[in-house]
Amino acid sequence: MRALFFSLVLVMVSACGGNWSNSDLAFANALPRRDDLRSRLPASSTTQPLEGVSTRRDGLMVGDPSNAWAQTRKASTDYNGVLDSLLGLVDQVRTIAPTSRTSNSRTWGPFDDANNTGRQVQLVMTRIDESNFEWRIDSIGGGAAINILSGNFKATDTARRGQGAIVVHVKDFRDVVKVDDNFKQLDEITMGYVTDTFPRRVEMLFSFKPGSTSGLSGLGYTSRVQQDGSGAMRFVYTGPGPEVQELEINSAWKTTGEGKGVGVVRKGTYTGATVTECWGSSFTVVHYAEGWPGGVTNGNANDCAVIDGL
Amino acid sequence: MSERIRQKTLLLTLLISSAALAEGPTHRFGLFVGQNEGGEGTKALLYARDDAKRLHEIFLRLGGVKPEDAMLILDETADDVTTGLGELERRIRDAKNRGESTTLLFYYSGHAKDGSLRLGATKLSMETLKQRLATGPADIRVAFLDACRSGAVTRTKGVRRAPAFEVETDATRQAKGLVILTSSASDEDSQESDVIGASYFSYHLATGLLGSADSQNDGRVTLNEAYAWAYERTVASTADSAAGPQHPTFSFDLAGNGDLVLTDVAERREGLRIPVAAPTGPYFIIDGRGVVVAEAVKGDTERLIALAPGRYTIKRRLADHLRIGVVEIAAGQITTVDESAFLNAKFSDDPVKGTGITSIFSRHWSLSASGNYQAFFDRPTNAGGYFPSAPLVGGEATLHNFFGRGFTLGIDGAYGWTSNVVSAPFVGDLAYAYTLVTFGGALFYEWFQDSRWIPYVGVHLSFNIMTRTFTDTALAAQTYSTFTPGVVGGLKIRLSKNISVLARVRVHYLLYNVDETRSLGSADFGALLDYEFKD
Repeated sequence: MRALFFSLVLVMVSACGGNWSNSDLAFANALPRRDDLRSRLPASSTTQPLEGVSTRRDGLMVGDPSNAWAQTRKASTDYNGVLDSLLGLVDQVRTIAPTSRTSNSRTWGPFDDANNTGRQVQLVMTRIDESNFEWRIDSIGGGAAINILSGNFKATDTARRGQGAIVVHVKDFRDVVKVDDNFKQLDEITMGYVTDTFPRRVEMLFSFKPGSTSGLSGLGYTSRVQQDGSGAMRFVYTGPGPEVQELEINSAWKTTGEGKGVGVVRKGTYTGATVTECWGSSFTVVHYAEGWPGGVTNGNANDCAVIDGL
Repeated sequence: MSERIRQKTLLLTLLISSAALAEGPTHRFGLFVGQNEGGEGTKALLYARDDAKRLHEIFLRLGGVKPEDAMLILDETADDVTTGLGELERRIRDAKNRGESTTLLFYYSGHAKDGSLRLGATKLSMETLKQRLATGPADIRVAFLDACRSGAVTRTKGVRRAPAFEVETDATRQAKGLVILTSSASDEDSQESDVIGASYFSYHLATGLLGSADSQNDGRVTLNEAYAWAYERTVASTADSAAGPQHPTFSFDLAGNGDLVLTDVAERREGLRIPVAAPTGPYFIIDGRGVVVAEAVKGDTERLIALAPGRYTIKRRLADHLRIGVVEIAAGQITTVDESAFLNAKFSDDPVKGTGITSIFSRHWSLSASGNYQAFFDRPTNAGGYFPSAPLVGGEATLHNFFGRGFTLGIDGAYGWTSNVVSAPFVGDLAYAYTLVTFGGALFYEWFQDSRWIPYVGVHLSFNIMTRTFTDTALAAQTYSTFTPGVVGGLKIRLSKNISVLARVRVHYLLYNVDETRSLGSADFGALLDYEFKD
């Protein structure tokens, strides 16, 4: 009985302490969240595949499934997938208490890297001044640390809202840690985001390594979200045909589903020409207009949704 | 009076009578020791402290001991006793140097075992004590030893068995002027009784000293009379007890001294007179608690009982009914009993209740259900404070009289919860659910356990586990665990014998050391419903 009592006291003494920290909340909130930066589209039941350029060349008829909407959905899915890759670990880290603290920093880890045996991953966040934070994720192995990702954030109202930037140093780790084939084509991913004003905006830029199989030197996404849920994306669409080989599309939508996509041909026979496609709440074309010579126009431009601020 | 008592009394009388009968003016010193605890292997006594206090009070009031010449040592160690004895011996030598005749009265009530008085965890060898008294500087040394042997002691309802210790019953001639009275023979246990709220021996000794033992009715109670009274009553009281009869003993060597007057009840002129005209027979004087504090056997002459001022009930027991009266004794006055004013009463209306404190003062458990509200001494959580105030519900188990009468040990647990919002710079307003789990232990002292209102004060040590889970599930839940020392105080109100309600306040200190080092505090306001497991 006495031994049990003293054992209990010993357990209690060793259990003293904890992570009850208001400061931790500021640090945790200064880390970017996938949920804040994610592209959100209206719910769509459209499932039919789109044939893209071949269909476009012939022009889209009013009532056809919207190709621009389909490409927007694909771009959004790709964009969110990249976000998941970049910020999945950050989101995971935020849900656990820091491993150690100093007056102006918090460290999570190092934790064993399940995907890279023998390596560990660590996130260190430093508060530069009252509202500015810097953070980095390192992969540690063999006695050396590789900087995987670095970021900064300036909090404005609260640490949850502000302006930040993230750089993924793919070039530094792509040959050291396991990455998928897409990452192997990259040198760097940079991302900037603004979450303290509307529209909330994220810009993502992929820098490809020289001689990458994509044939691109760079690729970007811009995502914007308004307070009412309407959103926009800018992305590059690559087509197989000689007339429209590469199309930069600015796509915007309302929460009710209607939207409008304006594409500028960046590469191909019709470089510099535009194509406009509007869709309705059922995600079918209400207006379609090709801006190059002989291009077709279907539907009334007045049927296009007006989306403010994007 | 039995033949055995007569023989002992006669022997004592003869021994005393062989010396000069008149005790001259003497300077009296008294050391009164009471210790309920006997250390390892013993069970706590209930009344040893009270016995010492009672004898101390009687000798101050009636025994010619001045307050400045008396020491009352309660619940102290053997060193404290020997130190006190040494101090009195020093004063006695000073008095003797002034040419005064001196008497030392030494009284001890407590445990004894294996030849030693047991004072808490410490021991005082009986032999050492006897030698100390035998060779002490006082002309007359009288020791009253009411001691218990522990270890094998078993408590039975209403009776506390306590061991005797071996005292030489042969008069030792090494020392001069030494008398030792003991509560029981060497092969007997000494006993306490919850009915009288004392050990039998000390109780009868005390009542005898109040005047009950004044068989010569001269207003003075001598050593002979007191012993005879205590012996007879102790044997009679314990004859039917589960522990068996208890026979007080004495060791006597009073050469050169006369019969020793212990108390002078006539000189005090304060107490109760049972006049000549009153019916003969025993009178029982009962205090406000329902405890018999004195007995007087009225013969053909009047009796004087030197009771302290107060209100008493007097009972006479007749063949088929009781006669009961109430008297008020004022300070400095003798109240004469008017038996004719007594009322008849049935036996079922006997005012003697006994202390009834077996279960109250004995070691026993209680269980409580509690409702609390804990308020933190901190900034509000919406102004950067750390911990919110919250209601708690809990349960407690309490072991009463664990370390002796009144000293109580408790363990407790509670669960609290609330919802709150934390606001801090660059954090914003974050809502969270708060839970608090506490485990604690308390040591406190309860006063007046036998009354309806029982205040208590003590210390409390709690282990707190606090958790906040944010409604924003992307954020890690936060915990803080720590010991919080504090103080506790409250008031227990008995609703019935077993059921009580309590109002309680605890104040705790909490050290917070994550974001910064801060000393915080909390106050718990609680109400409890308590059930005591006692007969």
